[in-house]
Amino acid sequence: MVEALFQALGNIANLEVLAVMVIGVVVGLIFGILPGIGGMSALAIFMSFVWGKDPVLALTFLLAILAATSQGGSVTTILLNVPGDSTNAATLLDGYPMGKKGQAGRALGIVLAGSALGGLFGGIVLLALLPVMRPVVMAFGSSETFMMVVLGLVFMAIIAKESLMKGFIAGAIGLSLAFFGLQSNTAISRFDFGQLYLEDGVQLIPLTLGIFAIPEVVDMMARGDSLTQKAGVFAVQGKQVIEGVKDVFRHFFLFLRCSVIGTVVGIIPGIGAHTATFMAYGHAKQTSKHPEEFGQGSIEGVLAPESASNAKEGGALLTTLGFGIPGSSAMALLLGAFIVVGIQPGPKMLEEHLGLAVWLGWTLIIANVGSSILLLFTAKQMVRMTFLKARILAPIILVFVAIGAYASRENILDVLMVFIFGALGYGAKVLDYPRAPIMLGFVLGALAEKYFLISTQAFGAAFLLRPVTLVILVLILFTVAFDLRNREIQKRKGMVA
Amino acid sequence: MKRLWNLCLVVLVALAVVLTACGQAASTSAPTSPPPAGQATAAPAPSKAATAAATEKPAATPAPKSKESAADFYKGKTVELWVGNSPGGGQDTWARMVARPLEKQLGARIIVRNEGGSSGQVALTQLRNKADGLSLITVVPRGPILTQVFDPDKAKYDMNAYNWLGVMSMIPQLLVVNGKSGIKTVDDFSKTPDVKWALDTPESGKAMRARTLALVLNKEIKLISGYNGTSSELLAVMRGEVQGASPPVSASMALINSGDIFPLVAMEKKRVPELPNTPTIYEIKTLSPLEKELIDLALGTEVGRPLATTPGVPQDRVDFLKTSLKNALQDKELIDRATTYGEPPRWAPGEDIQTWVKTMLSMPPQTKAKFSELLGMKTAK
Repeated sequence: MVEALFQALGNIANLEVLAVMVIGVVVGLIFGILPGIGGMSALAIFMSFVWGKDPVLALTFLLAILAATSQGGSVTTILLNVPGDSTNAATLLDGYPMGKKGQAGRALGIVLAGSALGGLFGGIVLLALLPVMRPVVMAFGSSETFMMVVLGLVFMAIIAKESLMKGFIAGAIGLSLAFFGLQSNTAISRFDFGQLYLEDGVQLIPLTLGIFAIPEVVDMMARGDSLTQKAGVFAVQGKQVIEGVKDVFRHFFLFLRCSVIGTVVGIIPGIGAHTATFMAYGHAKQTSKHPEEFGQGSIEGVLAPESASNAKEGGALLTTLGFGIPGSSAMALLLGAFIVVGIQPGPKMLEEHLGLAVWLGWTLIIANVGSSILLLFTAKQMVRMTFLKARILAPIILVFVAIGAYASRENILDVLMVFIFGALGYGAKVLDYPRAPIMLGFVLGALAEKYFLISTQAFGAAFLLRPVTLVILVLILFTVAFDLRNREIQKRKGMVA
Repeated sequence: MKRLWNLCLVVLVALAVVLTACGQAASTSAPTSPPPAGQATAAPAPSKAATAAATEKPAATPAPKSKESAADFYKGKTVELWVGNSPGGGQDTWARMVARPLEKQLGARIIVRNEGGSSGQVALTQLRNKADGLSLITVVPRGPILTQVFDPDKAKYDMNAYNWLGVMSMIPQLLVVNGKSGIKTVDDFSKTPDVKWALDTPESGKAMRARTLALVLNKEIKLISGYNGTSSELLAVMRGEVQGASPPVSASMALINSGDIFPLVAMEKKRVPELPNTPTIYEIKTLSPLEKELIDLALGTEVGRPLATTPGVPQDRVDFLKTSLKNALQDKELIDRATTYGEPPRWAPGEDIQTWVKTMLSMPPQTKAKFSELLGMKTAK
């Protein structure tokens, strides 16, 4: 294995491989920056290009795209308060507020370093666990997955700032949206109002774009001027970016914990990428000495989701390579790419193509670091978009949002849903309801129902007593108790209404 | 007020840009939703729509030949290959594998387009009026045909009107158990208590195959649905969460070879070449006529991976597409890729699918009742 590690790294000396990696990173960054058009769309488009190509070149290209899109999305998130990719939603909570405080450069520095190191962490875990991943993946069955999803739902409350009740209401709205459409356990279609479109349920991309992007566009139009009143508020100075990089090392243990969260969630198939980022955010808030700063531009609030977001891809790739089971939606597409280039992921792959598997781990690491470096040199130019007048910027964003919504399934009704959810998101913003729990409730609601039904059918109520399930349950109780204690302390200090 | 008006204008412009750029007619209306195929209810009497589709209307009325030759028509054109199921799945994988060799045969450029939704019904509905021959579609036909059979008023497409070009590959199916469970024969399985079976949805082909096994062995099997596809189901089997699953051969071979799962029965008429020692469902015992009929019904909905073009396409273009598809399946690179995937190309003519569709749509009431029972029968309390 050690020999394979270094032999695979030799691929970097191949100019062709290096070139496709660079192209993949650039493509990924561009797709990530464009609102709504994230990694999934990029993979779906470029998969056609890999037919008949050498597997190393083809898979390096696609994986580099995937590694870079999250970072690209973070730029749009921080500068425009619009998620570039749905997985960037957690970064919205503190990324944009940091920019408004004149710390856009610092936020970008955190993104660059946090993402690069998070991707490095995920890649290292992938390489380390490849030979021994089977017991890790086998440990998480349906009941364990259900408990992890519940843990994610608990973080919904933690994410809600001052008002727990508003957080729960927002989460409940998200949960109820999750129940639209065909229920997978019973095949009963719910709340479809006789429409074929709704039989597939509410879609994540229109929901994300609607509740996060549309309210910002409306705000821009209402304001009329540019995002920054004076050139300078969002200006990215080199010093700020370096400061942001240093922040990652100042909060190194937080970075490590969040990377672990991301990797573990990535390994467990079926939980979803968004769970990792919100869980990491919730954990950071819970363990922070200054939880009142979260939502106002907290450094930890940006570091946590960024570390988890990139670390999770290493975990997801582990399950994909080792079992042929996609660890995320993007990996499901990548799995198709493996087949197209003539490789069958699974136990046999590790015997017959160990070198390729190891090289893909290196690709994740190098592509993450590479996209950070590329962003470092282009950050100043990107921030210029915030100088544009709102009447120019808002329609541009709106068009990209509409294209992003359409691109996911090529269904015009998805575009309509963006505006419907936009009304919901704007209402939430005006009434001061947190929007992140809406998305978290939506993502986790359907998962919770599905895995609960599977667990009770397979094990009855005794599923709660399975060892790993029990450990996670204890963790949930501990998390809830810890959060309640923190809120009590804050109340006494007069920080919470 | 002025800014609000500006915003409304911007929204309208954005929508107009998207609609124009994507060439999507805003007047395409979403049909009312058909219910999930095969829900456990008493079989309805054949509706007028189903009877009309099967008997009164001629099937796939051939459109007149066009003046230009088909080969000339397709040269340099762009053809969309719609996949009616989710990206990354078997149908999607096959579409991407066949696209390149088919391009060479047609002399056209092929773009694969995912339009998953309601098991392919969204794609079938959207394509039903496109008669130029520049749209191909591949779906798992089971779901759409069952909707048209059991809820014909809600199916806005007509499977009979589509021009079925051929079958690209068959999907041999298995019933598997945990490789370390000690179950090596059907007898062992029959004696195993509290058997749980992993499924995706309760009315799927996988559920039907599990129920068929339960019927034939006269054994209670608890169906646990909700798993995220074959990979998740097999993982559940390996973990011991459930005792069995109904995967295709292509998804199973790697795990069978590693000993993680054991192939109990092949849900096929003949033994699967890759698993010569695995008995077929017809071989596990001496079957009664009723059992045989039910197995035939269950297996009858597995017609592989067909490719079709839209209703109303001129006959010469349909013929050209059929020939092109058949030739494309002989492409060496495709054969290698598909064999690695576990589903080597297995051509069957489009007429077979056309006949199958007609047979399904003209199913007599008593057969429909038995079929409905097989789709929704409860096998364990």
